[in-house]
Amino acid sequence: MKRFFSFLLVLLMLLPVFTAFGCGKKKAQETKVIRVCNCDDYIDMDLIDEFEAETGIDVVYSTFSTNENLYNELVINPNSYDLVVPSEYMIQKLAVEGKINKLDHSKIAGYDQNVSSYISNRLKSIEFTVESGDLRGEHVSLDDFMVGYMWGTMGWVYNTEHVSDADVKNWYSPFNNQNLSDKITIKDSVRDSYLVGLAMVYKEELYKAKDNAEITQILNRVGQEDIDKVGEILSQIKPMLYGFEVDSGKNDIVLGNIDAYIAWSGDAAYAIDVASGKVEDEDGTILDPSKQKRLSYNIPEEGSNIWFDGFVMPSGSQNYDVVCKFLEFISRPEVAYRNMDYIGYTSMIANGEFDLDGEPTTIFDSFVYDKYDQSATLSSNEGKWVDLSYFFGTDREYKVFVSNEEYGRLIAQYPDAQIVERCAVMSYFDGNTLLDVNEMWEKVKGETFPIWLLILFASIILLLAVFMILYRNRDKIRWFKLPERKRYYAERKGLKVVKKENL
Amino acid sequence: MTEQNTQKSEQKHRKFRIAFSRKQLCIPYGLFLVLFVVFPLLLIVFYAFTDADGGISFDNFARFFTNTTTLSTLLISMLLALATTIICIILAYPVAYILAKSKLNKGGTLLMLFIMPMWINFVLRAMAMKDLLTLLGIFRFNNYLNVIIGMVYDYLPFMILPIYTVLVKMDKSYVEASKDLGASSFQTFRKVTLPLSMSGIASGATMVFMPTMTCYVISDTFGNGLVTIIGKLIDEQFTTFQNWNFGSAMALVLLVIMVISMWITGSFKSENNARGTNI
Repeated sequence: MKRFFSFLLVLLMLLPVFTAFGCGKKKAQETKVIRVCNCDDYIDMDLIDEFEAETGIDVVYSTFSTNENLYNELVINPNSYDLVVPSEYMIQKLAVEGKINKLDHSKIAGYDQNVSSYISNRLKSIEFTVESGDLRGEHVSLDDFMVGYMWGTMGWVYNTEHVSDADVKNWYSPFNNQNLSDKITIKDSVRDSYLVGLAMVYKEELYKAKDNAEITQILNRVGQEDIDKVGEILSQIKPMLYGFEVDSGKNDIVLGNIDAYIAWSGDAAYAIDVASGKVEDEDGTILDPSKQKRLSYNIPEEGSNIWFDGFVMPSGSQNYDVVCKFLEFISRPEVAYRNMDYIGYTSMIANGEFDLDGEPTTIFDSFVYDKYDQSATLSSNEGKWVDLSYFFGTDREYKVFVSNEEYGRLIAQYPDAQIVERCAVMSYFDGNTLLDVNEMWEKVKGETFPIWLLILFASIILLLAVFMILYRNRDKIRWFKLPERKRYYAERKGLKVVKKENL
Repeated sequence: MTEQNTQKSEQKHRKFRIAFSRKQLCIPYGLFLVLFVVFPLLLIVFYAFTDADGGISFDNFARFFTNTTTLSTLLISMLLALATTIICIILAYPVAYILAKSKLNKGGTLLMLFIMPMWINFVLRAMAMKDLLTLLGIFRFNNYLNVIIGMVYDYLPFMILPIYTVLVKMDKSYVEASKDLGASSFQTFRKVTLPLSMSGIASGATMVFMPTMTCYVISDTFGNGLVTIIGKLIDEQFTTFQNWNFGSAMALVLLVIMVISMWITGSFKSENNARGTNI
């Protein structure tokens, strides 16, 4: 009887396994599911609900913290997601290693018409050869694999009260101003800081560079001497830093702990808005008017990084038609508008009309013209003309006259053509480069003691350990017992041990 | 015939009967241990002794012990952990002593006040402490000092509790005997109470020293990213540099150091059964 029960028990325990297998197959046929993995806080979650309501497709939404963590996840299980949102260098790495599928843009209605042709041309210009997987040996471009999401630049965010425009003209210039000592942070991210280091080291060459290809070549140098030079210059500026950060910089500059920091453009826009009291901070409060300050954003003259985040489909995923539906939804101009409004970064979607509060509008009108244009009120020396036709197209005039105060805020979202032409895409570090860069970064971030000091400490620790071991075994070692033994032998011989002073 | 049959069937039953004993209650924990402690440990050892292509190699260890930066980082972590432990002992001993002696503490009411902060997530506490330090204006002096303040703040309860437990459990007649024999209070403390509570101090020291060597959340928060400890190096190998082998090797070195230091400090603990008094 007992045997029967235990058998039953085992069956009962196995039941969920059987049913899971059975139902899993059935479910996939009945309701469609799409598994999306995106950066933290990188989408307006209401849009996900709307997509589910509209199409009846279930969205399993999760987030990742860094591109590298996402990469680790995809290595362990290539079929963990249907869509992920890495940055361009990680997309390139994943594509080279055959870990993602191509995405046919013609299957995604509206994407090719709405996406900025400038951006997609730049993505097409990044060409490489796939090294493994089904597409092995094929010559491809980044554009074949991704559907663009957000893009941006990197530059200085600075407090206009304490930092002049000249102070942030170059990557190195803030460090020439002694008043800013201990008031600057840079990124605690090796890629970003490496690029900044390169731009500092090769400033003159970058000035002389004629076109984007040349700048890209300089900002992608990874020779041993380049890495050493970058390490030197980063170590040199380290004493002037308030710290390395990836997340706390925007709060620190709003609170006034620092006066300048290296920011990604979306964070820059956010920090400028919070500091001026225009939007709520992360706690949902508007900054107290007495603490409000005017921040600005500047991309140094010598050049900077331009980055693109896009949707890609891991090679393990089979749900091509569902993926296309989701991408079609996310690339609509009104969805792009709401996403941009919510997260503060800049969408790659540029064209297409949509209704906002019952009136037809475009992304340019709602985000740029209506917000910044002051050509009617300001005289010519109080502002600047910014021409964004490179991004939005040539079908009409995409120019705006922006006041000097608001110029930094505008270029945080939409830099003009000359700036973008000086921004380079940085490709990923391959295995050996990564080792060298790693060593350099360790040296920059940590302290390096002279070797004699290390040996000294090692010997102190060793001595201490030896002492402790001896102390622990003091009962077993004869040598420690010498005085007692002397007394013992003396007593056996009938002698009396008398202390000297008692004699 | 029927009797024989029943006997046989009984024997059969006995053969297949599952003998339940208390030992079998350990099976779930044993499984847990194998799956989540032993197996990951084996994985770390495997990664530490292989290179990126999966071949056996000792390069990871060679790299660790020939690079002055990693060794310096290890040394800094040790010194920070040592400073934190010493400050924790100095702060925690009087508190634990007073708590153990205090009549107000019937039922551990006062003790609760010291333990309660541990119920709040430590990252949250670290952020709050940082804001407080900034507000008080003591945040700007030195990043290493900040980190030590943060670590002490976070790990103090781990020191108070074991010392308190030892002191509370201590037989009061020793103290009475010492006083009867004419020792002053200070002599009693030095010759009776302190040696008897040594096991609590050692237990607390291991609980503070070891986590502080790797707790990089605190060094990042309080050091503004300018203080690098060995835990941060290990983390970067896994998250940024994709070098699981080197990361595992560093973790293994750290593990060996900790085992050795446990073994060495074990000399203090063997006398008393206060080991394992923690939260």
